[in-house]
Amino acid sequence: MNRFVQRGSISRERGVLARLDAPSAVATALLGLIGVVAAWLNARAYGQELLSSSSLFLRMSIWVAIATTVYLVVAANHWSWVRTFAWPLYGANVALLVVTLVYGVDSGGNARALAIFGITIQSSEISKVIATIAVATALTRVGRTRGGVRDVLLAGAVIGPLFLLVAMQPDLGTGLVLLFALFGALLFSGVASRWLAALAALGAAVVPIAWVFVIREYQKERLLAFIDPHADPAGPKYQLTRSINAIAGGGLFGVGFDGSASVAPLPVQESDFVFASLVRATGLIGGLLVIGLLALLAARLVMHAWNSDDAFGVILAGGMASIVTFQAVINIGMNLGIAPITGIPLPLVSYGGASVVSLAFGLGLVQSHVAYGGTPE
Amino acid sequence: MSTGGQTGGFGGGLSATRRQLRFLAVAFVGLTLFGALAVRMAALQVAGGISGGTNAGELAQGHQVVERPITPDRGRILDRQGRVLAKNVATYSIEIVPGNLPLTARPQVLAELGAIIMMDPARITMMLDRVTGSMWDPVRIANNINESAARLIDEERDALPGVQTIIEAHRVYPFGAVVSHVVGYVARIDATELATLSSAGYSAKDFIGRAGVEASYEAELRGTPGVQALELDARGRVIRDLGIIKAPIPGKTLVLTIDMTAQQHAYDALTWGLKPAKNKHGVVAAMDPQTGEVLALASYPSYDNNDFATGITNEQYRAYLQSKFGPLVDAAVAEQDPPGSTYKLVTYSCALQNSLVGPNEGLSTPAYVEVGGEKFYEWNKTGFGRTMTPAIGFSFSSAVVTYQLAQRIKIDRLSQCGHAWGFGAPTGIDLPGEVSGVVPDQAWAQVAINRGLYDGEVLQSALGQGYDLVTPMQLLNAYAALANGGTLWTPHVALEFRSADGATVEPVAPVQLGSVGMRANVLAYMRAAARLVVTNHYMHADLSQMPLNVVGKTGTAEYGVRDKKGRLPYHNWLAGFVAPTANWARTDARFAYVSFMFGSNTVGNAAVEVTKKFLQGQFNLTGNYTIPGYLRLGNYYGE
Repeated sequence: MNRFVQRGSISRERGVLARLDAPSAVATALLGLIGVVAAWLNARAYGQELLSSSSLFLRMSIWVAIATTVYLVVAANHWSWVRTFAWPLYGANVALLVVTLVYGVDSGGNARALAIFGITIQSSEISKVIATIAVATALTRVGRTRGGVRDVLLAGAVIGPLFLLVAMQPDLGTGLVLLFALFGALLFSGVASRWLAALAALGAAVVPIAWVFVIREYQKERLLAFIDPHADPAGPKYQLTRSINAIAGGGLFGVGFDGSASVAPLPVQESDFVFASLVRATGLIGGLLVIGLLALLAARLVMHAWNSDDAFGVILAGGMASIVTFQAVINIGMNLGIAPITGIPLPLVSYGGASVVSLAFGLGLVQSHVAYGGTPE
Repeated sequence: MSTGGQTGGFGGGLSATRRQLRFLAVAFVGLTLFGALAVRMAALQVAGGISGGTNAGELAQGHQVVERPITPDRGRILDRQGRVLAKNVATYSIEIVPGNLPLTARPQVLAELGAIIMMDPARITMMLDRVTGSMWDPVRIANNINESAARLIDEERDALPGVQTIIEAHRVYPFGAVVSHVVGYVARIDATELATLSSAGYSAKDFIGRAGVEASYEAELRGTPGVQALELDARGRVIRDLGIIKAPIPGKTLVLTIDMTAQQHAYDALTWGLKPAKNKHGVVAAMDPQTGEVLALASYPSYDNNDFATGITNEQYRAYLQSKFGPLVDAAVAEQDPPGSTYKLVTYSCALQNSLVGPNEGLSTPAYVEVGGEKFYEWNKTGFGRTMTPAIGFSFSSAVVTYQLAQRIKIDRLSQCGHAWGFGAPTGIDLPGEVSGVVPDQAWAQVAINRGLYDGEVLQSALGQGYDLVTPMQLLNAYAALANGGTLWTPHVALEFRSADGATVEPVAPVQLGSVGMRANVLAYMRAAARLVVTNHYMHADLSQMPLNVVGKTGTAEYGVRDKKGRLPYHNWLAGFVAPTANWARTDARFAYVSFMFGSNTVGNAAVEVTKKFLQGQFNLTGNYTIPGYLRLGNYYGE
């Protein structure tokens, strides 16, 4: 907890921003900056004009600027408004997912992104943060007793529609993040361990069924690639081989920002494999910095969940910690060849407006909760 | 903690202790996960890339991954009995990467290399100095070196910096010159071809079919290239093989209609028949009239296609190009010559089909016919002094009878009949370089010689002289159509394609080129007449002693420039077929043939003797029916 904050009261003498949790704010800002650097790196690797309208660098810069604004505005205002608007936000997200399902396309022919005025929006990215807010709101209605199976069912009912809509796109990665956010929210909300265990067991039981009936061949291929990437270097496994070799090639200090232009482009190196291209350029040092910043951010979120004196704050911070941790571990793990390829972006670093802005929104809310304190019941 | 609470904030339904435990577990799991990522990343950098060989520093020095095509195994070529006509074997070549050979070490490295491959070091130096491209592009020093030398160079690798041995698949043609005009050859792709074909996945080191079926079935034989990932260092040198991204699909096995037994008999008969008169040029070919399958196609002079397989030398290639009669040209399809009297098949069938002569009508045989104030003589200059039916006239190859028919047919109808038998247009055979021949008519004459045809030229056209030009393949196809009742098949040498593993077989279906469009009784009459030709004792084309139901038509075609005695050189022809029975109404013959002896000028009809030799071999005849004396050089002008 921030030592400048006197919980429950707003000190007019000190600005709101001064009462934010500085380490997590710095980590968030640096990760966004690294995202811009990575976009610059990849724009050059793809041979783009840096200031053209399609330039990854220009677009990511704009998205990070928007995200910064969102972060600061949300953090500076009392978080309680979000409980009021939780369900309209949730409804809007569901509507956006439905529209995406009907009208959306991506290059792979899947209904994943919605193009509005030439800007593609991955509505599934937004659903992670909205789901966390909605679960936190649902589980903290006044007068509820907590910790029982009804919390599990309620949270499941909130996440369910989002999960189904995302899974139908099909966006396996985001679906997994949603499930993990659900688990995290329940874990931090204090649901009894037996229900968590039951939930985990259910998840474990669903995997083989989903493997046979739901997961498509190309998804299986990607999921399995990490087990032995060298067995068949074609397709996703070959992507992985490249990713790993790029990381290995980074050495301690990296090849620098000039070297990466000559490397064969990594698959989707602006999003899925952004970590590999960063490590190639900046080496072990850069990679450790990214991992360290993400770990610091997650740790600060968990600490706020620990210190929060109301359930909303616990679930919100815990849920955001779950999202950041899960995405970071799976994405970097996939770059390192120890996790399945699932198309999950690296928080704040991977190129993508919806991901960066929605995370900034969620993290800003937690900061607001830090600054203004909870509402003890 | 500013509130000083020992168990933190809100705990839901959990006791303080349980909440503490849960957060401790969360912290532990989180730390473990992030820690594992850091450790894995560091481990990768220490261990190098995923498949071991490269250490981190190398990729760091600007190494890159590139994709290179993998040349697929070229399909084999077999004869119809499965005998191998073209296969791939590994050969060893030597390359030097100039950038890897320090100038100071050059003299002793080249001296040692030169000693191993028995090559003058000065010549190697010259080859290296000639290169203008990147010093990292390998320079080909020697092709097709023997395996022990290649091994030695590999063992001496440390002492021979920059020298590398290359293993490549090269074509081997076990039958060489015997069937090279059909099989053809492959050669390394040249810059012009590469410019147009690089989009099809060809690279500068690839071979491409240049002649025969190697060229016409390039797409099927070549297969589909694969893709290989290579790691290059900053200077573009290959450091490591990252594996195959896409496996190449080997080319299909091509099974030819050629029967190597027949082919060998044809080739042997041809070379045998050329030798006595020191002649140099001829064709012997055979076909199944029921399908258009070419059973044998021997063309002389020939060339050894193995010369091309490992890279032909300039001198050798120039020798082939400058050699008389062009050994590289498949004369059976790519050369056109006057057909002589073999073309009377067109004239006689045309007159009968159009009822311009009766089958039993008697035609006079004076010494000459006078047209436009010019006398056109019988070939024996005296005439036969008797009346002849068309069949008898055909069997004596009477010029005068033919002239009379031509005067009735007239040029337009004659050329129509020529086209009906498939002359004047390519047969569409699946071999490159086919020419169409010439069937003259007034329209052609206006374009080609800028005037109409004279009446005398029409007479010449009726007996396959003058402007008439045919390929041996066209003539073979016409006599095959005579044998099968009037169907012109597109001649073909591809019988079927098999996948490299033999799992699938795609037969090549016969394609009908056209129909002669003549009544069955006309064609039966002509078959019987063609039997009379080879049983006429008066002629030098007597095949009657052979125990075969063989028919044929001779041809002696004058060409070129008269010698001092006023004589013209001439080609000899014989075209026909062998039937299972002597019933000429039947159309079930399975063997048509053509023999062509360019400029033979022999005592007898050399093509007849060559055909006898060919048929003796082909049909396992024990007797010898040839008359070698006819193959001596003479000035025989008879038919």
